[in-house]
Amino acid sequence: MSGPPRERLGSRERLRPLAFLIVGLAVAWLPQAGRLPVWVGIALGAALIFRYYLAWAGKPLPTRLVLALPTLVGGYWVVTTFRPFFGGPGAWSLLTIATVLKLFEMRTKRDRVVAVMLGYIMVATYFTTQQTLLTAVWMCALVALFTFVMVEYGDEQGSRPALVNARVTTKLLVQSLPVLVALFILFPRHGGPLWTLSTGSGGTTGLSGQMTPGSITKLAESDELAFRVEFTGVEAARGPMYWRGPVLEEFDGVTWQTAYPQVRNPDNLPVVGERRIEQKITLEPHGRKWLFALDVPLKSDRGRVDVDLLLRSRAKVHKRMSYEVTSGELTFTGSLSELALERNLALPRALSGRVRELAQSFALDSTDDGQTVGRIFDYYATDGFVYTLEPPAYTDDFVDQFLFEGREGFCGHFAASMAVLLRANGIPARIVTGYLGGDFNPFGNYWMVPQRYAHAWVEVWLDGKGWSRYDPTAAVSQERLTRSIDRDSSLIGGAIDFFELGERFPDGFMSRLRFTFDYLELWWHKYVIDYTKQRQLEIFKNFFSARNFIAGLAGVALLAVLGWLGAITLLALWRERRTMAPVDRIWRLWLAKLYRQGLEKQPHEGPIGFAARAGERYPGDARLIMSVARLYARCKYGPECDAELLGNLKAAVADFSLTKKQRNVSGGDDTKAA
Amino acid sequence: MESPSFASKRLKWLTRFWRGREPEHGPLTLGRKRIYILPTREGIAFFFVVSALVLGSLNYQTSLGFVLAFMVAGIGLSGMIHSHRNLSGLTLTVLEPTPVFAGRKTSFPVRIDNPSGQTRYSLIMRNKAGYRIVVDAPRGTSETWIEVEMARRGVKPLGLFTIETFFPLNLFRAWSPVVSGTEVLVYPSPGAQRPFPDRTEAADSQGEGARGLTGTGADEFSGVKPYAPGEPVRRIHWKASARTETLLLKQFDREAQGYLVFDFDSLSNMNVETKLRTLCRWILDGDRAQAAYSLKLPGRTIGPGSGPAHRAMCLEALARFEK
Repeated sequence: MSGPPRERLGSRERLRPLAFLIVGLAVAWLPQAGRLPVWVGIALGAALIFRYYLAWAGKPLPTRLVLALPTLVGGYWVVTTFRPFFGGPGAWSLLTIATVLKLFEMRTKRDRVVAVMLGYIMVATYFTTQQTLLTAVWMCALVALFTFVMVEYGDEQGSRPALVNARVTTKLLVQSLPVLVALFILFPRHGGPLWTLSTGSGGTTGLSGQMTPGSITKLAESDELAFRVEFTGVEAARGPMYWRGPVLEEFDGVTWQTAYPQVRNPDNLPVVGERRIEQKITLEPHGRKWLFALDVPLKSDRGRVDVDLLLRSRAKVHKRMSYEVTSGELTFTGSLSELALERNLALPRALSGRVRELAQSFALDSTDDGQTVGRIFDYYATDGFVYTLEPPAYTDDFVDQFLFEGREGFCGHFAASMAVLLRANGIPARIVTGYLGGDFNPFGNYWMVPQRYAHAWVEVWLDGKGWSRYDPTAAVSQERLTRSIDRDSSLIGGAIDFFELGERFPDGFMSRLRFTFDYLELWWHKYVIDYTKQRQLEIFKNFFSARNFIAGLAGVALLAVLGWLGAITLLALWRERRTMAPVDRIWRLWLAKLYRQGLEKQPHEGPIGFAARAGERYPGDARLIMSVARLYARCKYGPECDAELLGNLKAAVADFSLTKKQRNVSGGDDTKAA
Repeated sequence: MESPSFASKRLKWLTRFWRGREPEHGPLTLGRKRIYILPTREGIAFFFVVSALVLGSLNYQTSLGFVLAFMVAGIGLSGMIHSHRNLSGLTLTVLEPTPVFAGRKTSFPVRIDNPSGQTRYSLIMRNKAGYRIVVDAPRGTSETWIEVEMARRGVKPLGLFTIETFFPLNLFRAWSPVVSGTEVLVYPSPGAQRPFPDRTEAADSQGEGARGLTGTGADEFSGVKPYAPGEPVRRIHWKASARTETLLLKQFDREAQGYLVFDFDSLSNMNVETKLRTLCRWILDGDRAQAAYSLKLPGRTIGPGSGPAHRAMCLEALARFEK
């Protein structure tokens, strides 16, 4: 097409858009900077600064030949460092290096647009790990910035003030919103991936599926959210809320971990109790498969309850996800399978004699397992244990040292040692990790469960009843069940302070802010991020049949965009007309009437000249035509155009019509320019 | 559909398509019918990147990716509307420039009327010859020009030029071709230096010529005569004019002696254009020497006379000369 010649940019580069572009690219890159080694990050940062320096000092950009060197070095580094090369990190590193190098190769207008586009792609790569509200704010800021850069670069002479360009940018952003909303809602979603590449894994904080005595203590320092819970059924949780997570059955003296494989015992199917607690849980990504639920989960829409009564999703959770789950009570009347029995009775080889002795002392003259369990539980309540976030460091035989020397610990210590005491008595026991409690968000009527509520407790197999929960921590410190840990005070040292739920939380500006923000976050996830194919189907299934669903949606999306284009155009026309003087508006009406008769006023014709020509074509109406034109001329150019004269003109135009018979008096093409 | 002009309108559209627009005179307003718009190379690249963003979001099922893609797409689309609107409603008037010698550049002044409240930014006027100027048109009237080199003498129209804009994002090009009928008078380019012809005539042999006689300023002062428009202003006798309340011109001795005759037919052994160029050179030299001269073309004689008005008349005759 007759496009513009590819212009070389002037020798003197403009600094303002370049500065914004560089800052934009740096901000787009920063959240993922950790994916590269520090020295690469420093090199890239230095390159950006050097690029600005070149423009500032008016130095020429390096030639292609000079650029070849860093290109090859960068490419070689990426290819040799990342395996598989086409996985996420490799491709991403290449994109980063290419973007920075592109800045040194800005020779044409197109290069500048390409640099901005690379910035957009860089932004998009971050979404595979993060899609929070804050990410969205960051993205919008970058879109605004990049658009501003494009507007700035569109100003070829560089003469427009920044304020003008900022205003143009704002207009573009605001006008893009209807398109965004319409396309977002209507654009047909796809169910699964079109192709697969290994992507970066998001979410690393959280339970690990292993437990060493100190591991949960670390989580207790994290303010990050683990998940949010809405109780969607009639019944909410009663009593302390135990959120069930990984179940740990194998113990080597230091570490507890999940045992595989899990075998279902067909003779031992549980009886489901009557209580049903329905929850909708929005889980932050943790990179694992397990899905938390109120103890004990029965069924869910997104996962499967395993033999160890843990809800697991099919794939690892790398993105924030929502699921519905129903929890209830289970009773096992059968007996454990042999494998399970063996696992849940196994003791570490190096168990000290005094631990064994202590354990067996609880079983003396007890009638059944239940009584022994009760005694052990009481032991924790009455024997002077201290609940603290900063327990002493226990070395190799931690059970022995904890029980006989330190006696200070966190939930992990209590649970682990209790399980050992139980197993030493031949009572099957295991550790369940998860969370205990939650903060109620009064703005959104849901519960927030932060990482610091991570917890571990014991499950004991009792004949005729099945797995039963015992929480030795609760025995040590009843307050842990009903109150939040005041982390700040407990970190300073010594025993943990608690405060009442609702006592400090919803009051105070900061906590209110926290709850409000979290509510927005949940809302954002529910309505924007979680808008999937399924949601789209739910909304639009009544409008389109399944067969035409995608075509129908795409059609409506297209119509919406076209409608928006039409609306904006009409708005512009209407505005134009509004700014027109009334006399001109009436005149246009009259011209339109004549135009319909095939008479078009030529641009060079004045009103009187046009009327004369029109009169020649319609001799019978010549006087009428001329009178309207005269009236207009008086209104427009005369000294005394008042409301009355204008009214006359309006009436004359309204009444104006040509006598029908005369229409064919003169043939010929009068529309042609004279 | 009974409108008699329907068929002819369609025909007009067709002719416009095949033969280009007819030259237009006077002010013309850029309406929807004459503004074209297409994406630029950058726009096409932009489109592909947005498509890539959509594909990526589909694959990784990232809703925020869709938000980004559709936001960027929306910005591009509203950029398109802004591009179109940046031209829409402007009225261009090409004004007549001052006459020019062939081979030189002349500037056609272009008046841009912008009735809307918004400044139209980065309007580019260009023509096939490679001329290009970028202007902003704030509300009201602003002026720019189109410079063209006129190769041949005659009365030449400005012809085709394009007003275009890439505002605001460089993604779309909106343009409107204009075939301007506004004309410029192109004098022949002055030929090589050549001595004046020998032939002179006495001053009194032509009554009409006496009014415009001139001579060199060095000659002796011989009297005054009434001023006529076009005669050199610096020879007005201000003192005498003040006394009589009419403008009087100083007269010098040599004026009585006669005037030069530049005769087309006296030149031989050259083609018509060279003859005209020589005549042009003589007129310029004669004017510079403040001599009186008359121009004789086949079938037409101008002068004798002198001064800018006479010179312009003679040069115009050369420009319009037809064999």
